[in-house]
Parts: sequence; C-alpha cells; structure tokens
Amino acid sequence: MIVRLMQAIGALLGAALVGFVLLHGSGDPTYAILPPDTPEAVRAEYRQTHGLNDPLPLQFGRYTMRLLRGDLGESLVTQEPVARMLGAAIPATFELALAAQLLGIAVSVPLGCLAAYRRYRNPGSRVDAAATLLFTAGQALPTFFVGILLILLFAVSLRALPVSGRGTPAHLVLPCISIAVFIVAVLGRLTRTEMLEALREDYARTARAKGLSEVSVLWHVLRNVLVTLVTMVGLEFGGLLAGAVTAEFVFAWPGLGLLMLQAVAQRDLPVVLGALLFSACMVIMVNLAVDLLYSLVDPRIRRGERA
Amino acid sequence: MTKGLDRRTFLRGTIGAGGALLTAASRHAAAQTPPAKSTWTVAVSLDASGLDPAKFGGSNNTDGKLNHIMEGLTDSEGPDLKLVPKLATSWRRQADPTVWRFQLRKGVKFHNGQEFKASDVKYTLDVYQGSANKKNNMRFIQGVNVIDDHTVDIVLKQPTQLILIDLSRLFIVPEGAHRNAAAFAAQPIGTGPYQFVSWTRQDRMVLKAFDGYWRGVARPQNLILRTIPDATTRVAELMSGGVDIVAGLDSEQAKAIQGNPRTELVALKGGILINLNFNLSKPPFNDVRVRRALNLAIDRKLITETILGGRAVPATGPFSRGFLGFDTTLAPYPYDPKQAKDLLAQAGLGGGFKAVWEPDSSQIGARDVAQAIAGQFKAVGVEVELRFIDPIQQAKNSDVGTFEGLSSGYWGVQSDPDRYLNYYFLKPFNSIPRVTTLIQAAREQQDLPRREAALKAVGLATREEAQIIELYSQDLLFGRSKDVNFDAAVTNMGYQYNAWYDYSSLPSLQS
Repeated sequence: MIVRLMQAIGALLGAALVGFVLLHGSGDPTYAILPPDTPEAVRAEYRQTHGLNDPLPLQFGRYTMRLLRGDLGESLVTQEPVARMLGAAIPATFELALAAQLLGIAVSVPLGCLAAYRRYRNPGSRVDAAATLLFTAGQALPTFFVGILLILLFAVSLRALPVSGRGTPAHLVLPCISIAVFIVAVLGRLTRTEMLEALREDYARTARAKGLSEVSVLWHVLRNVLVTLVTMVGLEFGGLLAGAVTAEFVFAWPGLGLLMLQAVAQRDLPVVLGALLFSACMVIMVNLAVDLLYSLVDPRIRRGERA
Repeated sequence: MTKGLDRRTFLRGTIGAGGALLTAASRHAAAQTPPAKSTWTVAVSLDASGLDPAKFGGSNNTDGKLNHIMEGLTDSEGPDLKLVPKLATSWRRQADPTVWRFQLRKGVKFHNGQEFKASDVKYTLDVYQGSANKKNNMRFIQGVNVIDDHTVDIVLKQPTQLILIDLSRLFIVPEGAHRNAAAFAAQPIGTGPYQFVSWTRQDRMVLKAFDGYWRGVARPQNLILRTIPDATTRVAELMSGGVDIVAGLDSEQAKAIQGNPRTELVALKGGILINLNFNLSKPPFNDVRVRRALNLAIDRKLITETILGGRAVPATGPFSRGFLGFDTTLAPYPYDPKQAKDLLAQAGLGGGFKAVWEPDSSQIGARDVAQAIAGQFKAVGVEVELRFIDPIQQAKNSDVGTFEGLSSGYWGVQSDPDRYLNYYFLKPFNSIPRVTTLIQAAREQQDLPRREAALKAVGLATREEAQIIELYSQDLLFGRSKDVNFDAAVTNMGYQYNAWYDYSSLPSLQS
C-alpha cells in the first residue's frame, strides 16, 4: 500500500511538472489576460507581481511547496483561490461523469451479454451483428460529434430537450448520452468478448448440464468476467474525464472541463494545473478503488487465492 | 486576443458541418411567434473575469457585461459612434488646458438607492489609478477635484480631449464601494439600466431592469447573459428557442440563421478592422516602394466577396467607419499586379524575395484569407512563408516587434483611433517619423473638428507611406430571434461591447 501511495505521489508530481513546463512554454499570459495595448511596463509589473519572471525551476519549487501545504494558488484571471473555483466546478463534472458511467454500464453490460449469448447460440445472429456495429460506431464517433448530432435531433428538430447548460434533469440527458456512447462501445465490446469466451468454458457447460436455467448460467458466467469489466472501468476513467471535458465544452456544462478549457485559452496557469492535478488524483483514486473492488467481486481474491 | 488552438482547428470543420446541418434541421423546426418577451437570453463565448471594475475589465468579456450595470461620464452612440453625455451632462476645458470641468447629472441613483455625486467620481477614479486593467483609460488622468456635489474638475497629465473617450470606459462606482470589496465584487452596484441579480461562473449572469434608472426602465425586464463557448451550440440554442441573441458567428452559421423562419441575422457592419503590418526595421520593408507594391498586389474585392462572402468591405485608408478621422474620399488600393512588379523592380527586387508572415488566425476566415494573399503575393514574385504560431505568442510578437517581416492583427472599431494608432503606428518597429509627428499633432488638438481634420491628415500620410497593408473591415455577425428588438449598432461598445437589451426602449443620449 505504501508503495502504491508513493507511486501515486510521484505520478501527481510528474503530472504537475509536465503541465507546468508545457504551460510555461505556451506564451506570456499577460497577452491573454491584459488588454492588447497594455504598456510593457504594466505587463512587466504584472509578471513581477505574479512571480512569472523567476526561473522555471524556482517557480516550480515554489508551486510544489505550496501544493504540499494544500495551497493551489490563485487564478491569474479571476484572482480567486483555485481551490474555490475547482470546488464550484467539481460537483457538475461528478454529476455528469457519474450519470454517464452508470448509463454506460447499464446499457453496455446487458447488451454485451445479450450479443454474446445470441452469438453463442447462433454464430450468424443479427442481434450480435447489430450490437457489434453499435460498439464499433461508438468507438469511432468522437464525443463532440455525437453531441452535436444529439443537439440537432433532440433539441433543434424535436425540441424535446434543452441544448445546453445545467439546471434540470433534462439538461443532463444529452451530455450524458454523448459520453456514454463511448463507454457503451468500450465496455459492451469487452463484455461481449469475455462472455462469449466464458460461455464456452467447461464450467458453463457443467452448469447447464446440471439443469440451471439460461439466466442462471448467464449470471454465473457474468460473475466470472466481472473482474475484467471492473478493471476496464478503472482504466477507462481517464477516458471518461476526457469525454466529460469535450461534452462540457459542447453542452456549456459548467464543470471542471469547461473551466480547464477556458483557463488554457487564457493561459491561467494555476487553474489549469489545479484542474490537471485534481483529474490525476481522481484517476489514481479510482484505480485504487478498483483494486479494492476486486475482492468484492471475486471471492478467490478475498481468500488470497488470486493467481 | 485568445485565438485558435489546434483543438479549435479540429472543431472548425465540425462547426462548418454543424452549420450546414443546422440549416437542414431548422427547416424541420416549427415556426412559432411567441408573445413579447420579458426575459431575453443572450449567448456569448466568454464569461466575465470578475465583477469589480477596479480589478477587472478592459476586455470584451468583462466590460461587455459590466456596461449593463455601470456607466461612465460619457459614452458613444449610434453607427458613427457619436460622443454623448452620460453621467456628465456637459464639460468644458478650463483656462488651464490640463483641467476639464464636468457638470454631473442630477437625480441619478445607484442601485442601492444612494444618490450619484461628485464624490463618487473622485472615489472611482482614485481607485482606478492603481488598477493594471485601467492603465489605458487612466493614461491621461492626474487626479480629480470635487467642486460641489455635481461638479468635478479632472486634472490631466497633459492637455488632450481624448479624455472624453477614455471616460466612457471608466465605470463609476459608489463612494466607499471597496470598504467591503468582497461584498461589492459579489453584488456589484452601479447606475446602469440593469441591476445585478446573480452570477454562476461559466454559466450565466442574471440581471433585472433597474426601476430607478434615470433614463427610464429598460426592456426587457430580465436579462440573462449565458456563456456558451462552442459557436455551433450557441446557434443551436437560438434555433431551438433556448436563447434569443447569439454573438460570434461565421458565414456558415449566418446562413443557418437566415434559413430559419424564427431567426434573423444582425450585422455590425465593418465592426472589426483587419490589417497586415510590416516590421519596418527589417529590409526590404523599410522601402516604401516595396510596401506600396504589396498593397497593390492584393485583390481585396475578390477576398471580401468570395472568401468572406460579402461580409467585409475593402479598407479605404487606415481607419474604418466609426473611427474619428475616417476619410470618405479615399478609395481602396487598386488591384494592380503589374504596377506592383514595376515597383519591386524599381526597388531592385525584380527577381522577387522571400518573407515570413505570422498571421493572426482568430477572426472569421483569417486563415483562408492569409492563404489567398500569400498566393497573390507569389504572383508578383514575393514568396511568403505563412507561420501560424501559438496565438498568444503571435500577439506578443506583433506587440513588441519580434516578428520577421509581416504580422497581422485586428482592432475593434472605437470612436477615436488613438489607441489603435498607438498600437500599430507608434512603436519603434512600425513607426515612420513623418506620420508620428502628425499623430502627435492630432493628439494636441483640443477640439473635435480639428482633431478630425488632423486625423484625416494622418490617414493620408499613412497611405502615402504605405505604412501598413490595408485589408478590410469585417462585419461582426449576430443572430437574433425575430421577437427581440436587438440592434448591434447602437453603442460604442462596438466590438462585442453591446447593449444586449432593447436600446430603443430608452431615450437616445444624442437628444
């Protein structure tokens, strides 16, 4: 556990360092923050006040020391504490990411199981072909493109749902679907493959021979592929956050992704770094949580029998 | 000045395709005529940085919202950006030309009921002296003396009438507003037509008409300013009736809006001026013949009518309509590649030459225009390498002169061109002594007609010197629902500093 924790801290510092170097190489933030014809003397004073003139290692050292004290600094643009800005944006992102994840799992696992079962029973199954097409399309279509198509259909043509913003449950539907499409594609394809393989295993045949119903056999088999699926959910969490960033941009969803994109455009270094570190933290924590979940879904791990 | 990232380039294609799809989708959208609205929702691309004008402002995204809540002593109004009184009713330069006396409007109240007085003007301008964001507009102000409750003297560092324009962007706040700065920033107060209700960052600002506004009560009753960064989403919101006004459209999106029975296009004609600038410190651009040749090598009509779809007009001099000093007698440069070649030959460059251009790619069609101009330069023997660099770095290079040969940029039309001249004509790498002298002379003119004449002389001189490559004035495009009376060309707020309400619901300031 200690090793994992040290690795996590190392990963966080690495993310901070990469972000820091990339952002500092991307131009003078005073040109994004101050009016275009601001005199150079005023720009110089601004840079001095915010410590932007110091050598990069010194700036990074100062940032790291503050970080270790839990201080993410202040936004160059809004002059607000970064922690407060993140705190205001994170609930919106959580709401969206969680809803998309649940929707993705709720659709992908049953669909993947169904496709695998039909394929197992009939290699030429049309249901399987349709599901496979859906999974492939879902992986091929970028989130923003799906988002725009959903807007055109459900908001502009049918006027059934709002185009953008956050507020009512209806606002959540389109951005949630646009992210879930990718999750369905990844998890659905994996569920189908793993289930199909497991259905051909001896233990599945034995269960069937013992007279268990098809549903019971499927459940039995599904429990065996859960470890793989849970692993994939953890691995894809970064992809989920990336999808959320795009969806937040398209749907003007006031979360972490939108905050980060606007901060990048305005070269608001502390905010970008804060959002980056938070995202990295979340990915690490989700992966730790996935490790813990293994023992819940696989009794062998609980008993320390994992191969 | 934030501009296209690679991600944006990636999105650009989608936005174009989205525009086309929107046109198709809009045909299926039901045409409805809702009743007159008491709430208007406006979609813009960027949120305000903050709400305290002492700390924020100077940018379109912030001032373009604060200008509904707060006002300056002066303003500009109408398509010609005529200077008009606002919180000041009149002004007069004193015997000492560095002192201007302003009579302040009586009976004006702040949103908290406090009466507007001279002490508020003094307090505000004293606070702004220390603000980095206000350095441009405070550049001439030395201090303020209160004469009586409704009279102030503004003391300048040097005699100039440019103070009248600068004051239009210096929003007056109540005396002592910063005793509790956090509370003021959370609930800003001004004398403007709308009072603040709420603000959710990255989402929306809600305003309501101020019942005690000195010009009457503005329509609509409620105003919601939403931040929607993606242009395709903004247009979709307009199409679906989710918002009433959208800003920042390209020609594809404009077509989609025109094709929808519920919406229409509003153009702020020539709202943004686009030019190409030389680094005059580097040969061969220190030779006026080369500069003239490049001006003659560009087919502006072709560019404005085809690439920009008629949403721009060729430049006629360094200024565009709205700027004081805009000369209606000047014509655009003719397209004359033969004369361009002759001039290059006279300059000893008959065999052509190579140059580097760092284009600004933030404005609609700018990348396509750059490619077209590079092709037209090539036709006269000038091979231009286009370097589309990071937009922030491009802005910096353009500002400090660290670009190789050519750079391009834009400037929102303002009522007086002084800041524009300061940026593009008075720096060591882009100035010409003769023109500099004329600009300084124009600055010293103390009344408007004389300044206008002096600025026209500046315009003629820059044309003679071919100091810049004059390109075009581009329209700023807005979409509106047909049931809202939004006019883009009514305030000096010009480049996205609009009055996002029914400006005709209030009496004109010119009357």
